[in-house]
This record gives sequence, structure tokens and C-alpha cells, in this order.
Amino acid sequence: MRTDHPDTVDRLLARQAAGRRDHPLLICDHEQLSYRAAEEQAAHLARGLVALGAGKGTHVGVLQPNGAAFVVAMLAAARIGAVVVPFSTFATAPELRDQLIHSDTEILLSASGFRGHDYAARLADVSAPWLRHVVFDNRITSESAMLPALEYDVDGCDPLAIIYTSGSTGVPKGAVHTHESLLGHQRNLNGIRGLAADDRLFCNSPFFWIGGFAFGLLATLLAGSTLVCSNATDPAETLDLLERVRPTVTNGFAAGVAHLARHPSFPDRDLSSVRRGNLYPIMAPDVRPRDPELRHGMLGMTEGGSVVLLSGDETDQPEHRRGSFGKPAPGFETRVVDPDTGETAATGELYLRGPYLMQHYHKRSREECFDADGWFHTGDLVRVDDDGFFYFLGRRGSMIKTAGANVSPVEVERVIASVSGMAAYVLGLPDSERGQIVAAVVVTPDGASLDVARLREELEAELSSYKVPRRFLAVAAADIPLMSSGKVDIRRLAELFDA
Amino acid sequence: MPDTIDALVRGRADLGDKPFLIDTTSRIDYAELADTTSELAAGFVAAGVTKGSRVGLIMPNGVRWAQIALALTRIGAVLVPLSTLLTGPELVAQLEVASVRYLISVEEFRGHRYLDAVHPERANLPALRDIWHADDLPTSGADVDIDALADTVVPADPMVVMFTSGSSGPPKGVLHSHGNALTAVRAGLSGRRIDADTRLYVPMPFFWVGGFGTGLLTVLLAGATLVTEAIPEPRATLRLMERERVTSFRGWPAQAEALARHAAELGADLSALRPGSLEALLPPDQRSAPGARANLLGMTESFGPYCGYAMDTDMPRSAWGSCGKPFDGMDVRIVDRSTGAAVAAGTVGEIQIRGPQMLRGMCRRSREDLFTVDGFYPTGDLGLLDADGFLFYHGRCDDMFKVSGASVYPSEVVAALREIDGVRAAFVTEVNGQVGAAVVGDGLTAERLRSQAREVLSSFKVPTVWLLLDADDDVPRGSTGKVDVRRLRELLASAVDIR
Repeated sequence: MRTDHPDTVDRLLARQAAGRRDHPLLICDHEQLSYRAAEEQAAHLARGLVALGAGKGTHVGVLQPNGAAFVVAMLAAARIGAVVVPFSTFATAPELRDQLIHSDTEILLSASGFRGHDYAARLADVSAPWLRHVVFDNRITSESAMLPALEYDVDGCDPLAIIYTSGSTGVPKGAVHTHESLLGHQRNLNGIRGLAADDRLFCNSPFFWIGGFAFGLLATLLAGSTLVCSNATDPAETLDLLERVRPTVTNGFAAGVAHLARHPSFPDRDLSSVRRGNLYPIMAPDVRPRDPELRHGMLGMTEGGSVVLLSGDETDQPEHRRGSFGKPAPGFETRVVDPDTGETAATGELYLRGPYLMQHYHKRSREECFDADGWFHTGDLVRVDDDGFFYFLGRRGSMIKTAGANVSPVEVERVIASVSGMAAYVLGLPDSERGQIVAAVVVTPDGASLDVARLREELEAELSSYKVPRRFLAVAAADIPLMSSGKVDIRRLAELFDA
Repeated sequence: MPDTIDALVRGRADLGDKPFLIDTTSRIDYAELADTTSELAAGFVAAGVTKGSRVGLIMPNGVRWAQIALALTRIGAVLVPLSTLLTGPELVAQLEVASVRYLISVEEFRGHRYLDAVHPERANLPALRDIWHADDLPTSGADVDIDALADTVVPADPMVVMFTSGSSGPPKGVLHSHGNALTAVRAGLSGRRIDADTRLYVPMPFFWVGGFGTGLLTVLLAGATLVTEAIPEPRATLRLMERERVTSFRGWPAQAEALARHAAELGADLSALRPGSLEALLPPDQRSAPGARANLLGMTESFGPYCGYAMDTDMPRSAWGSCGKPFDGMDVRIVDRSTGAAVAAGTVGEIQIRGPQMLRGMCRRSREDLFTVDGFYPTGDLGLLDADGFLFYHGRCDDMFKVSGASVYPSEVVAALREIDGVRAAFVTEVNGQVGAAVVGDGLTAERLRSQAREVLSSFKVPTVWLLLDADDDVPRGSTGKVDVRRLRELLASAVDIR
């Protein structure tokens, strides 16, 4: 991985600030941040962080929605060798506390509020053993003069970030990634997706998860291009932004732009600038696919530093390639292993190996994350065709994948039990827009009906909104379908919703 | 009990007044160890030390070293033991490589005034925040809940950066976690015949694995007692061993021989010593034949031995001279240095190892630079595994050389020469593209050596340049007693006339 390219965020930022200067790095609704301003603001904040005691290896949390404040906070922490720990803006107070504790965060850089979330209030009662400072809106008054020497001290092999996966089974999973692995991987991906300095990338993935953090933000920084995003709740405002900024590429989760395409003004909008990417509903009409299933999809994962399966071919594929996810990204070795036999097979679990994978999960040894030969078992089931194209078949486990986020049934079941005292079985139901939706079968006495509105309200206090089931069903214990083993039959459970 | 230093120290506190560590002037029992390390840790936290903070320690062996080291590692700070033998520039280089944030040092030891070299270099040590004198450590005014902080530490968390004693090239700072280090120590316990009743004498410095792992952590794990001293001197050592009724002596072989010479003259009572101690100190009837007991093989990267055999038991005759067998959980393979392919049993090649006791990384080095893709660490040592799985050590890879394209391992040739009658010692190296041998012995001729060597060695391995010496004193040696290979080569080059 030795290259002449900058292998740390601080060296990359220095180069791009000098080369791209006033070119916009980020346009988020009405906010704009140039490369030079990003460098200056991050330097200022970095000096503040050093004054608070941060240095190489300090875990600095970032709780910010997509926008300039996130970018500046991330760059400030990264350039002094601190480890960036992004927090989901969806997180409830208990979820925030759990991640603050688990991640050993010492300093949290937080928004004071966003979309009705009052983080200042939410954090007021939260404490964690190592948490020393909570800084709102990137405001630190004191400053240290040590910045340049600290930057010189950062290496490509130092950890850049701990990115938590959206799914969790009670024990959080934070993937530790180094500067050189995330940057090297995005540099390769930029080559495949053709992201260049004159591009403007519209991305609707949150920066606090791997897609937005790496495939959006770091990719943009590497290319010297402009990242475009929107937090507007009114679809018309987002469409206005697209017409004004004229992005050339889009990436993210298609369900997240479906509401744009449904807006009454949509047919009159000029989206002719959008030529590439995967948010097909908002691309120029002449480059939209005949059928989205005929374009190569992308498979990404936190552990793989974002996208690991993709193709640079953005044309409609022949019918026999329907559903393809392309081929492995450069630097990734793959194995497809039959879960029952452990042998290599054409259909099975995807194993990955290579320098761009995470180092390990935070607080777990490498032996707990990789097999003895260094393979990461992704838990994703795939098929490989004779031409080497991969097809995603689903999760090996029961994880529900809804609108790009992973939801653990076990976690939701536990919360339902704790708030209602009732046992529940949580599962994913197929959904054309979100891939899957979260559904819950709640065991009530004799199948008595359920106060769904109240239960939902109680769950919303405990769980991120995407984890809260969208469909509920009350079933008597005796009517829960069981397999001969005595285990619940999830397939027949799902069929109850069709009845 | 989880494998962390904190769990061990707290768990062992119920051993009460049983001594944990005894040095020449002081001693500490297990209850005091738990209390005093809590107090020290509270002071460190108040002064800014956090989980993951790298803290350097320069101090000779003694109770104080152990208290500081265990206080730091209990709360998840990363200990960086530094050698008291370092010169000023070497010390600065290690502080830089390990990004040491806080440095604890004695004022002076054996003429070294360590901080005199550090102060002028502060500008080149951006990570270094504070320096504390060992007799003036920070104390805590406030209530710090040490147990709550220590509870955040898990086995996968980093514990220590150990520098290897190797002097060539940039310093190697080897990173170990609580889990891998304690796994390594535990693996060696039974073979070394150490249990709770052991009173172990180890003079090896705590700043190397030989003292820290196979001394300090070994007794902590076993609930045993360690006896050590800062400056071993035969008379004082004998008195110390007698007074503390040491049961196991694991010093240097030369030290054991010196002690044996003095023991008789002093009338020292060493009757508490048990088998497994270095043999020079044992009564003749408890000694074993040369080669019958395993030479433990280990390195800083494996946190001590990874291979061995019960130290009070003779190995099978075929395994004499070997290092025993790899510990449970350790994968050892022998590979051809040029192809990287595994070789057959009985063939010499590079020793590569992997397993749960191995290093987690090295300061400023990428994982890919250190390990093979399938997770093996190339040790740089040469060896062979016999058909029964015993590992024989054959020197360093650096010693290997090629003659007409074929690999010659000096240790293999030396072993063959030493089997010849009359040979007391032999040294083999490359001389102008030929195999050269310097042999010490009586009544030898090059002709007889050559013909006998041919019977056991492939022809290309048989030395063609011979130098016959009457006494071991004729072998050129450096100040540490190691053979000076460069001068030996010069002697051999001028000795071609006696071929």
C-alpha cells in the first residue's frame, strides 16, 4: 500500500486546500463550504481539541447531521490523529449512552439540535466513564499552538475512524478503519465510478454511516469534487437544490429519493445534469435504466469500508445478468462458501480478505472478527455466475435490511418485551421501496387486540425510528407457528401478515 | 475471569498478605498491590491519562516498576516500557516511534540521566505532553472511580508497546493486547512448572518480555511470588535467593554458572530450588543430559515463548536439541524463503507463526507489512519441524547465504561439524561465495573434517574454506561476547592456504 498519494486525511486535506482553494467541497441546502474554508475551520477546531487534551489516538465522537459542521469536526479530529467516532442522529438517549461507553469516547462534538432532536437536552443526563467534554456546534474557546507537529505525527496505518454498523444485537459493532485503508479503497472506487474534480456528487447517505462517510465524503475529498446533500423536509426544496447545483453523479439509497419523484412539481424539473450513479428516479430521463434490476447494483458494508461489489459499466445489462452486483472491488480477494459444507461453491456466504477491510471491531480481537486464514465472513449470501458477476441473495442471519439500515430482530424484540411485558417475534417483510420493512408479531393473552399507537409511542422513546416496526400483529401464544424442533417458524410467521 | 490486568489484580487481592514481588530492599503483597495501584491510577487519571494513552516508563526492576506498570494497564493506558540501557538518541527515537504521551523516568540509573536527552528534543516529540519523575508522581485530590474506568477495559484492548532488543534498523515497537499477552503467559505456565507455590527468581529487566511476561505477569497469573533485583551481583543474589527460599531460578545461564561457583564458597543454602531451574544450580542428580530438555523459543512478537516442553522432563531422544513443540493454539509452519511455500517435515526454512498470543501490530507499520495474507508472522528465524512436530532452531535468516544458488544454513553445518570427534566449537559463514568454517579442537585436519562432513551434509554445504583454531580465545568476538562475523570472514579469507 505504499504510494505517492497522500495516505492520511491531514496530508490529503493540505493538498486539496492548496489545489482546489475556493472550489466548493460541500453544498448542503443553503450552506456551502470551500476546500480552503474547510481546511481553515478544521485547523481552528483542531487547535481547540488539542487544548482539551486530544491527541493521537483520542476517541472523538461526532454527532452531527450531514453538513459542514460534520465535515469540519471529522477533519479536525482526523488531522491530529484522533479517532473519529460518528454517532447516528437517529440515536435515542440510551443508544447514545451505549455507544459513548462502548467507544471510549473522550470528547463529543455534537450539534445542539436537529429536526426536533434536542441533543443538548438528550445528552444532559448521559454520562460515560471516559467522556470528559461535550462540545456543541464546534465551539471551543481555548486553542493550542501545537497543530503542525501533531499533523506530521499521523501515519497512514493509524486508525481514522470507528464506524458503527446500523445493526446491532445488543453488543455494538464498531469497525476500526485506518487512514490508508479507507483512502486507498476510495481512490480505487473513484477510478471505477469515474468520480473526478469537475463532478458534483449528490449523496443522500448519512455521513455517520460508512456509505456517506467513505463513498460520499472521503471519495469527494480525494477527487477534489463537490459533495451535494440536503436535509430539507420539503421535497420541493431538495429539487430546487438539484436544479440549482446541477449534480453530475448521484449515490445513495433509492428509497430515500422516492418522495422526490412523487412530488407534483417533479415532471417539470430539469435533472439533465445527472448522468451517472444509482439514484435512478432523479437521473436525467435519457440515462435512466429500462429496469433498475438490469443495472449492476452495489454491495457495501461497514467492515469493507463501503462498497465491495460493483461495476463501472452503467449501461443496461442483458436479461441473463438481471440482479447483478458486479464484481469485487480492487484489492479484495473473495471466496464463496457453502455454509453447510464449508466448501467453495457457486452459491454461498461471501468471504472477503484484503487490506481495505477493517482492522477489527473495536473491543474485539482479530480472532473474533476474522477466521484463521484472515477471511471476513460477511454474512451475505451470494451467487457467482460463469462470467464472475456476483448476485446478492440476502443475509445469512436474520438481520432485517430496511432502507439501507440493518435492524436486529433480537434487539427490537427485547425492547418490546421491556416496554410492554409481552413476548414478540420481529421479522422482515418484503417491501418494494425499502427492501424490507420491520414487522412484529406480539403475543397477547388469547390473541387480544393490541394498542398499536401506544406501543409504537413507547418504542419510539427507546429505538431509532427505523427500528420501530411498521406493522404489528396480535397473536395468541397457541397460534404461533412452530417447527418440529420447537423453534418458531419465521416463514409461516411472515405468512400471517398476508392473511 | 476476563484476561485483563485489572481483572487479575482485583481477583488476586484475596491472596491478602501473600508476597507478590520482592526486590532487594522492598516487598509488596497482593492486597497492597490492588490498593496501591488504585491510588496510583487515580493520580494518573487526574493528571490526564486516559484509556489508550501511551505512557513511557524508564526504571530498573523493582516493586515500584510493577506498581506503576500495573496501575496504568489496569485503567487501559498503554504501557511503553523503555530500556534503562538506552542512549539519549535511542530513547528519543523510541518515544517518537511509540507516540509516547506521558513519560515516567527515574532521575538517574547507572550513570544514565535519561531526561537530559529528552528535554532538548521536546519540539520533535509532538505527542509528549508531560514528564513525571518516578518519585514525584501525580496524586489525585478528587474522587476518581477507578473500578468504573477499569471496567471499560476488555481483553482486546491494547496493553503494552514492547521494543525489541534488536539493534539494527529503526526501533520496533511491538503492540500487545491484554488478551494476547496473557494468553502467551498462560501458555507457558505448565511447561515451566509454575504454580501458586512457586517463588520465581527472574533478573531479566521488566522492560523486555523476558522480565515483564515471563517474570512479572507470570507470577500475577499464577498467584505466585517473584523475586528480582535491579543490579544482580553473585553474592547478593545468593543471599536473596537463600533468604526468600527461591524455588525456581530463571536467570541467565552464565549467571547460573557464576552463582554455582560462589554458592559453595558462601555456603548458600539453595535446597528450595526445584527441577526446571537452570541446571548449574541444581544438585548433580537432578541435572539432565545436554539437549534433553527443550530450549524455549520465543520472541517479543509472540510475547515470550511459543514453543516448549515440560522443563523438568526429558524429551524423546529424537527431539533432543529441539525447542519442544508449539504451544496449543499456535500454528507454526516452515516455508521456503524464496517461494513462500510450506516445506516438508525435516526441511529447514523460515519459521512462520500465527495464533492468539501473537502481536496485534507494530508502531507505524501497516498490518500488510507485518503479516502474510493468511495471517502468519514471518519470524526471520530458521528452523525445521520434525515428523513428530518438534521444532529445531537453525539461526536467523540473515545468517543464511547462497552458494551456487543453493541455500546454506550455517547452524545446520555447525551442528554437523560438532558431531565430529575432537571438535569443540565450530563457526560457519560465507567467504567469497564459498562455505567457510572456523573449527576449534584438537588434532584436526581439514582433510578429515571435510571427509566426515561429506557423510552427513549435501556436498554444496560442505565447507571449502577451513580455519583450524587451537583455543576458543582465537575466535574473534565483540564486546558482548558474540562472534564477530565480519572479522571471522576476514580471517577465513586469509586462511585459504590451509584448505
